[in-house]
Amino acid sequence: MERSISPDSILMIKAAQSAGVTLAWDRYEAQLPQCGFGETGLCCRHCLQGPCRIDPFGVTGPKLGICGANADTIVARGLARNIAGGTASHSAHAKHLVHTLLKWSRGEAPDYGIKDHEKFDAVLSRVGIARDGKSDRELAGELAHLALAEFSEREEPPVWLETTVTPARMKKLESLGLVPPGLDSGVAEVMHRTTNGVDADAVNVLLGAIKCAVGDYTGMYLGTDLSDIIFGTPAPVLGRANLGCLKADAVNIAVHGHNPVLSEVILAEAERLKGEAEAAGASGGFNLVGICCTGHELLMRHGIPYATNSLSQELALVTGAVDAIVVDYQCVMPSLPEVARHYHTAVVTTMPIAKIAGATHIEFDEANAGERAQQVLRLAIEAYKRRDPARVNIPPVVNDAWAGMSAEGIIKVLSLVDPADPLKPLIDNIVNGNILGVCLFAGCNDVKVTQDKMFVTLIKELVAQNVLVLCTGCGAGSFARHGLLTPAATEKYAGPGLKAVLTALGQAAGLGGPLPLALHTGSCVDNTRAAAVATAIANKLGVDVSDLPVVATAPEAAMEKAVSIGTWAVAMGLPTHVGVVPPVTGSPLVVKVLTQIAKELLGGYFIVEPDPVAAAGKLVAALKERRAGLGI
Amino acid sequence: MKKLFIRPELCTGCKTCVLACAVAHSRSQNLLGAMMESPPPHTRIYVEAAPVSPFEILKQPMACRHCDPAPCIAACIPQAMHRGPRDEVTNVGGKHACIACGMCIMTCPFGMIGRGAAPDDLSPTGYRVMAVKCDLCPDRPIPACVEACPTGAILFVEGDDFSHEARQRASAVLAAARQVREATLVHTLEE
Repeated sequence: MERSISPDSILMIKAAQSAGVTLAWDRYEAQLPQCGFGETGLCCRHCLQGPCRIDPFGVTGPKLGICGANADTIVARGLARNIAGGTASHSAHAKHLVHTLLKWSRGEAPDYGIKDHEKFDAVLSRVGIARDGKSDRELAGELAHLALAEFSEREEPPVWLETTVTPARMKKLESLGLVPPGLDSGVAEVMHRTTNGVDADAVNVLLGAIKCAVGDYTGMYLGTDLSDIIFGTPAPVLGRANLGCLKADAVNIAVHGHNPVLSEVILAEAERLKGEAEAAGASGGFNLVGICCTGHELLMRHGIPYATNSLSQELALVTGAVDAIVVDYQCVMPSLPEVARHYHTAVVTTMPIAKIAGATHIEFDEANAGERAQQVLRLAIEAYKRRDPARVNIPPVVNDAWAGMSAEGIIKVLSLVDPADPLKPLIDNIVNGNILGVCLFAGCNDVKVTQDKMFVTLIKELVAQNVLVLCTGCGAGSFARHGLLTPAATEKYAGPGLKAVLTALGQAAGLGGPLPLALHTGSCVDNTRAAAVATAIANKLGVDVSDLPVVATAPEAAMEKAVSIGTWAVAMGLPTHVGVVPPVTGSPLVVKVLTQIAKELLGGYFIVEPDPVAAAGKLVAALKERRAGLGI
Repeated sequence: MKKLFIRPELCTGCKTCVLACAVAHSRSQNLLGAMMESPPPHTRIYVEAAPVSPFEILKQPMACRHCDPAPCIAACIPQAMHRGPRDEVTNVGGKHACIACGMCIMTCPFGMIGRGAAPDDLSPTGYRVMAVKCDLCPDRPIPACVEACPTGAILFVEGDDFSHEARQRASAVLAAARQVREATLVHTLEE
């Protein structure tokens, strides 16, 4: 199997091979064949009596675990724990932002503040906090306390859920018992009901998992709100992508992970310490590039170059030009110090809960953020002095990438066409068929499939059939790195109806050409931005999201976080495609619940299809079914 | 002779056979002890992966086929490789000790012979480096891998018995087809 179709990845994979550097792809091959019990979800390690395994063929092997759990129960429990893992991750990300805001409100985080007052006011009013002549700091404190309360056990539904979904969706979730009493409670409840001797009804376990995933949605929405308040709501911005954004004449710092709490301060301090980098001989000063979702946070707010996706994070080091890679948490490979050993790169961990043996740990706290960021930057300068210019091998691949199409960014562009009723042009074009429907591309790259191939094939299939594409996270990263976040891509690949709409909008926005082929809606923790647009349209039309021609896909999903996002997308009513088969095939019942019964209960359901062309057909069919339902 | 026969359609690739084989060829004879041995015990069965299509990988356990005549016996200069009491091909207890020269490794058409340390009571260290290959677990009634396989993908049977079972499965398919045919004929006649 080809490892990647990304030109810079291909060049660096070759370079890694000749340098004797082991990559994720090599480690995957060393794992083959992978254990089929794990692949099918039929291995249970939830108690010390196990591991128990169910024979997927039922020929000679056991059909029950020691406790009596059958294949359905074991598969459902495993999936539920995946969803709890994903939800815990997004909630931790959101809580980090809440604590930052809380500390700022007390004057304990001087390097942060309220950057977007418009969004601050909008969120305050949405969650029901009255200004009443209070100062920003007082209001920020109140907002932070309300946000913290979302995570614990509450008597009322979570505010960020109730105020952001359609009334019909809220009613549906309540009637099915899918509203978590608190976001962390949802995670804890899954851990409880999936432990030995609790919930042994696979369908009931799955409902508990969906409830937990509804908490994932809620925490994600909250996190995005606070990111925008503290760091600014993204607006359309032109950046660049690919490993060619690294500079031979600069101190290159790759920021990697997820939370802008770290990367924003490093960006600010890099401007301040520019002179020190130049004094060390780097005429280009500091060159900050982003990897994974941290990259998207910086790209969409500042146009900082997006170097590469999570799966190819090691390849950034193989250029020999990265002086420091600074990470916070999630999707950070523990292999980084080993790869860095072949070069001069400093690997810097910053979070007390996410250390890597062999890395330099500079603990980051909001109170001393600026000072710690300076420490990191000076470490990068020291590493730069050790850089061997003869080993610098920056692949000559750079693409333009338009980003920053947050929900507010999209509405702003639309209001240039119709200031009084911004959603009207979008709705009109969906109704008249210029736009067949909307597809959100999300999720990761997965080492099991050729990097980017599914993303690129699937988007080309869909846009040719006039599907409007939003994208987040590594999906957006794939499109950025293949030049698909550009007006030129729209000219080349969009179907006639879609092209006409994107061109009209692009001209209204003063781009002198169409909008990019896919709208970069944010990092993977920003999927709720796309949900916000869908909810706004549904509310305007007086229908539910499950009635709209809107679908989602994570064609190369890899992480637990993608499982929880996909599950809430289903809970919110979206047909949701995954291209990598999740570990559920050991239970025909669980597969049926996820792909069929969910549709009856929630409107949303999973579509599992590893072939991108066939997947496009299924997504288009789902959009057409929704259109037929609306009579358009 | 009884040999290992594989039904790859039942292999999940869990590698339980690999662990069981290494333990069966360790000093401690249990997983925890075997993991702590130095040098660690060497498996003689391998699970290989080959793509069937872009979306499917065929997994199958592979071990010595115990050929007759066996190229490895012909290639063995010290005549360590020989045929044992179960007609198995083994380099333990031959005319002379295995000298780890690797002639058998080169000659095996299936790549079923490895090289590593194996317990040896005659060696001062308790181990010696030698060619390591499946010996069908001479001290056990059935080989450890067969016993350990959770799906029954590895069988220890006579070749004729394996093919008999395969014939029976094929015949069951024909019988099922016959049922369909009968039903169709009846249906046609009724019309």
